[in-house]
Amino acid sequence: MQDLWIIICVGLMGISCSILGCFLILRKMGMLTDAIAHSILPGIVIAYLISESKNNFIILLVATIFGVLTAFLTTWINRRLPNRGDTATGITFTFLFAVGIILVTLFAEQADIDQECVLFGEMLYIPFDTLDFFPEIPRAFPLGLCVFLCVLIFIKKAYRPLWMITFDENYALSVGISVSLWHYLLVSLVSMVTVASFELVGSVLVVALFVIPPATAYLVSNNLKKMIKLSTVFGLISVILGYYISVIFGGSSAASIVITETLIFLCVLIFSKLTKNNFNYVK
Amino acid sequence: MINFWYVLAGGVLLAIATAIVGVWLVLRKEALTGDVVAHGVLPGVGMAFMLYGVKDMMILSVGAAISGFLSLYAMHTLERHTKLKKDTIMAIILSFFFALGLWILVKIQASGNSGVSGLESFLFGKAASILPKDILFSLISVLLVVFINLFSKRWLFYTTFDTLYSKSVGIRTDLANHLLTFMCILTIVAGLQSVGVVLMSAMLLTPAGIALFLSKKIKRQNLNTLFILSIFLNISVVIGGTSLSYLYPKTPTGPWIVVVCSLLALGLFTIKNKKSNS
Repeated sequence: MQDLWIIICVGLMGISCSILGCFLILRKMGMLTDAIAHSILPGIVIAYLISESKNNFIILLVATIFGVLTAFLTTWINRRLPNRGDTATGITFTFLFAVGIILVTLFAEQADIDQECVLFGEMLYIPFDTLDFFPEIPRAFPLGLCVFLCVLIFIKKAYRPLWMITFDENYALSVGISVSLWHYLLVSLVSMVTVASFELVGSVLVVALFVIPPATAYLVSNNLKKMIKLSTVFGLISVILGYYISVIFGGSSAASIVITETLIFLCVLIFSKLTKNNFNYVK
Repeated sequence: MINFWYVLAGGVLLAIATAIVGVWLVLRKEALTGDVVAHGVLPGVGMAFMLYGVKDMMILSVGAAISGFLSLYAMHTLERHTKLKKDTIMAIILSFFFALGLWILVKIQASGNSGVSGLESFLFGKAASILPKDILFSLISVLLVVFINLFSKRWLFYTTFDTLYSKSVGIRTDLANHLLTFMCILTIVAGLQSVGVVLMSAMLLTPAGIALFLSKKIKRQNLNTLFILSIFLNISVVIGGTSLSYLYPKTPTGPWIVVVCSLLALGLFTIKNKKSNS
């Protein structure tokens, strides 16, 4: 039963990440995801300090603000340093992450949080941290379900505009779709998912959940819908496989999920090379 | 107090090396490569510790350098053989190597080997643990970086700004790229102990970014100005950050250096903006 709860909670996160990740990697936001995952750290610490308990709502809100702040700062620095988008990303996220680390070490006693928990996460504690009024249900489950539903509804409702800003920003602008509005909506959703999953997998490895399954799907798909479906499948499979691998061989569960994802990626890459199918261009 | 000077000396040496490499990375728009290497060294550190069981900086650094090189190699291979975008590939490599390193570290911790406790300091850096022999190591690597930079500056310059031209006049562009890779890995490995893997890229990028911005403002856009500005900024930031971290002994040194540096960057960016508007 405990294994099942862990897989359900991490699986929900994995699916949410894989769906959003498709848009992220197509919009060349792979490293921005990395940046957001690092820079919501001060937000998390501040939220813990304000609420003095694990109040999920406040954490989601504050961390989302920090995610949007990251994207905003990156754009702002990029305007100062034209043509150096990667430098802007690097400056922003290292700054916020460093602030977060200092806050964590300074207030480690007051807030129920420490460096390792933030960086590595610990999914094995999921079944023991339960809700007050339903002692059978772990705390991570309603949060995961909520985030998953948000992502699902967002993608269903906003599929057309997202599709347009992903593949043709100029066309989207010309038919009156605000590219920056949707960009920031996507960013805030990404930060929500990141903050919801950081306790389970840690802030660095969330990036893998966002990027690797969609990248795997990208290798073998030729349209967006198929890519999203495949990416969800890859994400779910690697969560389940990775978890059981960590049960058998020991070591960190989050790390083994990421390693499994990469192995699947490599297998699919070799498969697509061997069959010589250029899936991306052949209709 | 003597320890403080050790830390400062190590930090200043590191600042010179990171400033030089950072300028090249920013100019070549490969700024996040440093981040990939910095995460990529982690499995090497873990493996070296697993094989030898001692926390000797020399052995760990060799392991770190090998796995840092492997991460870059994997990145370039994927770039050549897939249609994935560059930043996607970087994110994949970065998180995979970090996960691998983490997995090994957790494994080591579970094995209950004593002396493992210090390995975490590689993540955020612990400048207070620097010994004279570590300073010797950073001195050697800094001298190497400065030396290589002096001798291959023209090569790197031409390959950075005009690959086709440099190929046509017979400059070995691939060799120049390898040299830069070597410098990059050397610097990052040297900085592992004081700054840590996670924040290494800030030491590389932020001063170089400020230098690029300032050089444009003072209308002196040449390589030497960039190097001088970036080295100067980086050294002063390291001195400031190290002193601050001594005021709060519980906190690691790396984050303080980064915070000071980034605040400086953000401040400069705003002030200059107002002037240019008026």
